[in-house]
Amino acid sequence: MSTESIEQPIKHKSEPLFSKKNRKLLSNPLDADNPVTVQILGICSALAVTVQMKPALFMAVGVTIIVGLSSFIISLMRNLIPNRVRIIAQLMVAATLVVIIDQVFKAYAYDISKQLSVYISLILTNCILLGRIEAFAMGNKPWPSLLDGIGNGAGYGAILMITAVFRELLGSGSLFGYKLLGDSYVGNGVMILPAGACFVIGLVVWMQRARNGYREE
Amino acid sequence: MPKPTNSYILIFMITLSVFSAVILAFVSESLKPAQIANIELEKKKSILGTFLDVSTMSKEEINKLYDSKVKTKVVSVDSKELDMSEATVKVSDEYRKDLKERHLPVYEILNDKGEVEYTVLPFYGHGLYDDIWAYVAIEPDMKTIKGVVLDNKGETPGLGARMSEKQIADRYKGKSIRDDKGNIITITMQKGEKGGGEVSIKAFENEPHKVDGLSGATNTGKGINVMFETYLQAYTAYLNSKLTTK
Repeated sequence: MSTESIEQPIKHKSEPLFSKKNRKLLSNPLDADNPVTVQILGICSALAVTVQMKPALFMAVGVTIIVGLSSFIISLMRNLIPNRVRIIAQLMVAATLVVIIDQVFKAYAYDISKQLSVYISLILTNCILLGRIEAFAMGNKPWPSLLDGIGNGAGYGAILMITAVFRELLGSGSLFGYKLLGDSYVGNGVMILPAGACFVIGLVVWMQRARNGYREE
Repeated sequence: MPKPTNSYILIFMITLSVFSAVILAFVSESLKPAQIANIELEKKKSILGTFLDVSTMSKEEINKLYDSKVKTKVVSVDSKELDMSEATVKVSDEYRKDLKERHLPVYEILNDKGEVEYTVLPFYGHGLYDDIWAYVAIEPDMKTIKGVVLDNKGETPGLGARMSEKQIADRYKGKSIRDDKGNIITITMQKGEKGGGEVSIKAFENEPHKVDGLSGATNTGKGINVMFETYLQAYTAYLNSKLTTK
């Protein structure tokens, strides 16, 4: 059995927890580097869970917790994970967290968990999750990895919420289940279907690119 | 990190697996009571939901109302009352058994005088992908449907999963499970959809054994029809026995 010598990183002058660089890790994915609208990841679930605000909110919270924590844990173990099996190890950590979140929702938010059905377990196949672990957490320290994970989860969640506002308001005339537009409002059927989410997300992408400036590379 | 040996990789993965397994087992065990309570409440909600609106009721109200109003029993296919508690019968397991061997729970909804107001029967079946189920409330004439609650585990969202919506359940209201001669007849969901909401109900107003279908979910509809057919068959003896004593 070979003994593993874990290289101790050379101590730099300790960086403040919320240095400018670290704050960027949190804020960048919310806008300039948004996983949904800029990287176009996680679209499938964004179409599926945004019919109403409440499931979208739970999904957003779930994804943020899972991406943040799995980035953190993988980053803690990054020097122990053998390169050849790294994807399996990443999947195992992420899958464990996904199952825990699924079980917690089933115990304490049963109605929501029923509405989200398979999409909770499908967080595991969300490109954002494995993308952040593989691209960031494997090569960075735990604290920045946690921030990066939370930032990306929140960026995904923000788009879910924006989409859900339009879809629930136009599709059912309500927000968070409260009727806002009165009984005379006839819901727009397209908004209830996944196609509605396609339109809304497309418009969000357009607006964001118009504002931030976008050049085809 | 130097190139890890095979034994290191093996030990690393085994450790990680065992660690995850222990955590998951612990989480699953500690959350189980809350999850079971949720499933129980869901069942009570479905049973009460066949004849009243439970959407605004709190957990305590539902439990209280259920305890005061619902009398349960278990019967066999030939309508013999079985000496067992309804709580031990899992309809999701029963429906895989041969029709003759099934234990059939019956929920009797009592009014204030203790008379049977409605009879609620649980149905179970298989949709396109996974289990589907229904609770069907029948009026004392043992013929007219007071209301139903339909639900599914894994039908396609937006298509088959629409079966759980209230507007689909409303289509079954007032339909009849007996033909002119008084024999049990099933209610068939049609292929295709005339419209939604009121339009669907209007379209089949004069068809006591037909309801409007689910557009784009023909196979879920087939599953619902098989479920209604087999379970009405299973409960035929019970429904008839109640008819003669009246």
